[in-house]
Amino acid sequence: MTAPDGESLNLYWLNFPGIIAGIALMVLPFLDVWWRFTVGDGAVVIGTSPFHVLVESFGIGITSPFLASLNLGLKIIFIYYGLLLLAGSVLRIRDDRRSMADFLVRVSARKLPWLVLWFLVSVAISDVLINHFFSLMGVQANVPYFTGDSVISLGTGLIPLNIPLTQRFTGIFIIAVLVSILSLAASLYQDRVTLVKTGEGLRVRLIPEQPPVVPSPQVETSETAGTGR
Amino acid sequence: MRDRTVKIIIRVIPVLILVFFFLSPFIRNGWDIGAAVLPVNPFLGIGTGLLSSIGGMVEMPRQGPVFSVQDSGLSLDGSRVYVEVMVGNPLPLPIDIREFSGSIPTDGTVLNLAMVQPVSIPSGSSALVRLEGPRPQGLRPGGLTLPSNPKFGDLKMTLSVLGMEMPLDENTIKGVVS
Repeated sequence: MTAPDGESLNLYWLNFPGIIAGIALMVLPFLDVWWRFTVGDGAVVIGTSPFHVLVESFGIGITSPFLASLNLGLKIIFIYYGLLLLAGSVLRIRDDRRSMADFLVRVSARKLPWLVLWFLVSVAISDVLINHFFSLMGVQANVPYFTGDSVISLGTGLIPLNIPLTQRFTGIFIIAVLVSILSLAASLYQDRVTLVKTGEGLRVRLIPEQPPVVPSPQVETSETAGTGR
Repeated sequence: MRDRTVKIIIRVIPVLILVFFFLSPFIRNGWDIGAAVLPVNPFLGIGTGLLSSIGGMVEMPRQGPVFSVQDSGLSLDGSRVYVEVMVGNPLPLPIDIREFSGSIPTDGTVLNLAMVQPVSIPSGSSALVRLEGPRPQGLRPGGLTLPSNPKFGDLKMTLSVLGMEMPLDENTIKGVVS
């Protein structure tokens, strides 16, 4: 395959954002949780991501078989999507596999952004439920949404009890958002743009909708016959 | 045609994985929804842990004396009074004492004391807490004699179990130092 400027630069047809996003997508499920909710100084810790649910109460881990199984399934699926994204981004180099390469990127690149969005909605719903739970208990609590600190005061007879609540997105969530952006960029890159080496260095170029029609040098027309072209 | 089949398979694989991992806990637990969805013993962790610590913290002041005076005296320059109190922790969790202050009447005068620095007490153990205050005017030299369980007035104590704080005062801590 040749680049749009006519130079033969096979490697420049690789989908570089896709390659990085594909590898990151395969690594992401093995990283830590995305959001952490803490009661006290670790009296109760709830950490979640689509790939992990960690519940610890006074050092004792609590696991739901259903959630653990679902997490494992999602882990495998996203490693699979990472592989597809990587394969599609590399396969883009081959003209004869271009349709399959585009399909692989199309199938895999937008899954993580959707997962991140779904995760944010889940955290918001969790916060609503936590606030609702406390109001049902008659406890004055204003648990902030997504991230922040608050203190709930439980009055147990004469004895007051102040319980600090903390919730935070972890650095891994930021990484997940960045990988999502990279995946979306990979999707656009696969469809419309490419890196081209020009005289002024590397440039991003739009891929033309229709490949340029280049007349075959073997076919001589009546106009060009005998001209030596 | 071959490409089309491959594309269909590629799309179907994640669905099959998801269905498999969605159903497998139910299959493994004989379609017992409770056993498949809920943790092995949901109350083992959050329930007992949280309730026992809150319950323990609430019960502790009612259980009777948890501290006793071990030593008392004047600082080297004689300007300050100190009292060392042994505080016990009956809970199965470590306790931090973040605030401890009060006044003790003695020898016709009153000692106003406050904890010098926060103290951590391991579970089922005791620790010495040093309280200090200015030497009252009326205190005669060498006249500091305190009973083992003195009556504290204006008592303020803040306990913390894993960050959960319980501020106690004279009313809530009644019975401890009677």
